[in-house]
Amino acid sequence: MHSGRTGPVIAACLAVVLGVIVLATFGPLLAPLDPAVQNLASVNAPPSGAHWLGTDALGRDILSRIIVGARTAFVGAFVIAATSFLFGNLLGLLAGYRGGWIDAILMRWVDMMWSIPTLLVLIVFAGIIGAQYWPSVAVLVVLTVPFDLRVVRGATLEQVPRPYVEAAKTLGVPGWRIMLLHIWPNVSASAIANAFLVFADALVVLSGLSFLGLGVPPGTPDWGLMLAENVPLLFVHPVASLAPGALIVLTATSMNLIGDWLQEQLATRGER
Amino acid sequence: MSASAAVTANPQTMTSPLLSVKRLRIERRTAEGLQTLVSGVELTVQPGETIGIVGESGSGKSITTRAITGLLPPGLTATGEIRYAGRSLLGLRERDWRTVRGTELGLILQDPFTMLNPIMRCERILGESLRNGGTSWFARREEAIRRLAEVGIHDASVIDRYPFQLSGGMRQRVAIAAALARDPSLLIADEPSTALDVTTQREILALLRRIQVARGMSLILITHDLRVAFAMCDRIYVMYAGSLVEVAPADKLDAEPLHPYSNALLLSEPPVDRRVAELVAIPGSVPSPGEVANKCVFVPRCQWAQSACHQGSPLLREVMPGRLSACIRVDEIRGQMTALRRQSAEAVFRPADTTPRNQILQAHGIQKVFGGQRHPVVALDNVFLEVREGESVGLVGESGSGKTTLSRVLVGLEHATAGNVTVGGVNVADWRKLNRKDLATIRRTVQVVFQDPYSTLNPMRSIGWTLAEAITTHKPDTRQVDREVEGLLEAVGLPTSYAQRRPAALSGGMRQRVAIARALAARPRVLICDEPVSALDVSVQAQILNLLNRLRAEREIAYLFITHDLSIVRQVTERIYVMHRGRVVESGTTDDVLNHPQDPYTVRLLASAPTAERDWLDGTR
Ligand SMILES: Nc1ncnc2c1ncn2[C@@H]1O[C@H](COP(=O)(O)OP(=O)(O)OP(=O)(O)O)[C@@H](O)[C@H]1O
Ligand code: SF4
Ligand SMILES: [Mg+2]
Repeated sequence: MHSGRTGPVIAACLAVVLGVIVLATFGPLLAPLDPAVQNLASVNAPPSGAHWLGTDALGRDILSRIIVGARTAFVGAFVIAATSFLFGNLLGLLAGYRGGWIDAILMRWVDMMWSIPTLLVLIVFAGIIGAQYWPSVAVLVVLTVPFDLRVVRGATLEQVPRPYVEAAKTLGVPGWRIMLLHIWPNVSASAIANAFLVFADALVVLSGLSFLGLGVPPGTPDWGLMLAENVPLLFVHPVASLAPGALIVLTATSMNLIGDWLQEQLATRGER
Repeated sequence: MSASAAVTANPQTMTSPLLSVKRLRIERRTAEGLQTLVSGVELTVQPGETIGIVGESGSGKSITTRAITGLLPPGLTATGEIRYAGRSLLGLRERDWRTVRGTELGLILQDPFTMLNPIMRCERILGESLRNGGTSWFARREEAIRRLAEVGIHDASVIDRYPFQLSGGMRQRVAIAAALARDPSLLIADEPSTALDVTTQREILALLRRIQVARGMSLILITHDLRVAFAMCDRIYVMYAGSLVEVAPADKLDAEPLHPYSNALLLSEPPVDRRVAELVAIPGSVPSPGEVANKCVFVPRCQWAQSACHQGSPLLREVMPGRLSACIRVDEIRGQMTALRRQSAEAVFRPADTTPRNQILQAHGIQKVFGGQRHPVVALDNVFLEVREGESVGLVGESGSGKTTLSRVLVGLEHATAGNVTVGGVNVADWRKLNRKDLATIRRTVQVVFQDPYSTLNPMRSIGWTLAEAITTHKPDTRQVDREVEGLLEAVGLPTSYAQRRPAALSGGMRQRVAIARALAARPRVLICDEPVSALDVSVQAQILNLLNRLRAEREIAYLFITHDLSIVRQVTERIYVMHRGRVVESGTTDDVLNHPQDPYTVRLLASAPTAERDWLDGTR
């Protein structure tokens, strides 16, 4: 890489994201208490030795709910980022390299998705088939792919007229090889950085859905849902809503910063 | 010789030079510490004198003049002494520079676009610079029109146009008019004609010389082309890797260079008027100043280098009156350098046998129209061309004449609007309708070497990967791909260890060798070379041309050689086509066409090719 120094900010961001990944994977094992167990004898308790972040209105342990809630926050966003990365890159390369009617059709889709407000579509969708997590994730993938597609197509268009691509064409290298092995490594910097931005966005949107009651089913430990459940207690028991809210913001911001940083690092690869 | 050259034959004894630079050193601050870019530069310019600074890319010509004009980019610092008319310029504050730049020193850059504000009409551009244009709008406008006439623009309407509405040559004329607007006594021109067509280049240089003589102005001309410097300058400074290696009056340098580098540079310039047996190439490539610190800068490439040359960097010293050289062995090796020049002048080219052979590449009535119905641009108009087995064919013409478009049509990167192409017996009317077998035949018949060595290789892939792909694309069942890669690298004169490197770790010349190796992997019968050396240093160009000549003899490949440079086409081809505005205006054997051109355009093109003679620039407007 260009320089060995990563800076304390990026190190902190990486730590946050790694932490969330660990929680998302091992959450149920790490939680000190069962996140679902209600204890009506101690509701809305302030932080204490037994409940580090206190309890919510049903007496459930907030810390445990946050730890276990990392999974729904992370997994959906990850699936969205990864799937739309895959399709966005493949279709973006195709549109940029082949052009013609393939490009025209794909760009029509991009323009359409671009002009529709994401949250509105999801709300309408939830209104039709009911509030469900995975169908919402699927809809979000369809809405996000154009985002990746556009970035990759633009970067591809820049590479196509370069002599190295034309040299491969005149050599008779098959189109798929030119796209995947020649062009992609040269556009991957923006594509990878973009995946991180997509992740951050998806995390916020999914949490927003849960917040609106359109995401995970009621009762599930989930950051967005916890935020919604505990907002009425904001002045009585601030930690209950602030902690999940802060985690959403922190994770999204970290992903954004890591994306920017990666792009810088990756962009200078070919110069050495 | 002009009068000013006689006066300044011995600048050291003159009393007050207009500009004097002493011990100039330019450094760049980097993470690893100070990096020297230029050191020990000494220059003097007398009133009315034209000096040339000649050197290859990266030798430090541009930043030297930037230091003189106080325009060093951030991060670079200059030390030493720069005096203009007795006044020290180093350390001048930006406010004081404004009274020097423009009024005392005028500056013209290589790319006129960067000098002209794109959102100003020419009238504003000139008006900003004019000092005594008069106070009224009308007087200023009249003055601007007069200034444009001085630079050969007699169409007064140009004054109301924006820079992008002018041709490259016109833009450079406007830039010259702007630089001259405040009547500077010294004009610095950094490659003023390199970005222009050969025919325009000659006009701009002639214009500069005429104005310089008429105004009695001093001129510093920066160029990489020795012939241009010989034709324009009284004295020449030769720079190499950040140092001056030789200073001499132009005619003396032409007759007898006194430094091995200048000698080699002269030898590696292909002559326009005859074909030589082999061009004299300088081995290796231009080092960075850091690599040759504390020794003679030319050591790695000099055939006369001895241990003494490694001890300390030699200073410029007066070898003969008015002639300075930084070579410590110059007295011993003068005779040998002269012998080398005589040898190359006497070696004659033995023409290959020219029995007619089978045709392998043919363009038949090609027409290519770009743009929509409303603004069609005819890039190619009914072009016929053929290449036969084993022959080398040139395609010459200035930029925009359609050379590259034609080559792209020949290999299917562009689809012809009308006409067809025959490649290795396969007749192509429509590339999209070709079957797999025919396409494979075509790819095995024709390959291309592109102009820009810096983007012709995939920056993310190692050299070995690129070559291996080329090999397996043509022979998927190749067993020992690594061995084949090594064979290709050896064929183009590169160490086999380079297979592991990425393109960024290679110089331009090396990259072009890799590009040639990649094309050879298909074992083509025709190689289309599109300006394969125009982006390379002069001293490296000869290496690549010799390589191409050698490969042709070894492998019996035919070439279609595209270039704007007539001296190159003379060295590597037997037949040529001359293109102008999308049409082939003349064709025939290279000797016939270049010695007895028939078409008026060919005549003009030939007159534009730089020669060392001063009368090269005569007879232009
Ligand atoms: N803005 C800059 N910042 C840092 N280094 C620079 C800068 N401009 C030039 N250099 C370095 O200074 C050295 C000399 O460059 P310079 O542009 O003077 O060469 P040149 O002789 O004019 O070459 P050319 O024929 O390509 O114009 C090179 O090594 C170059 O990389
Ligand atoms: S000093 Fe030595 S190395 Fe340098 S040019 Fe002269 S002979 Fe060659
Ligand atoms: Mg320069």
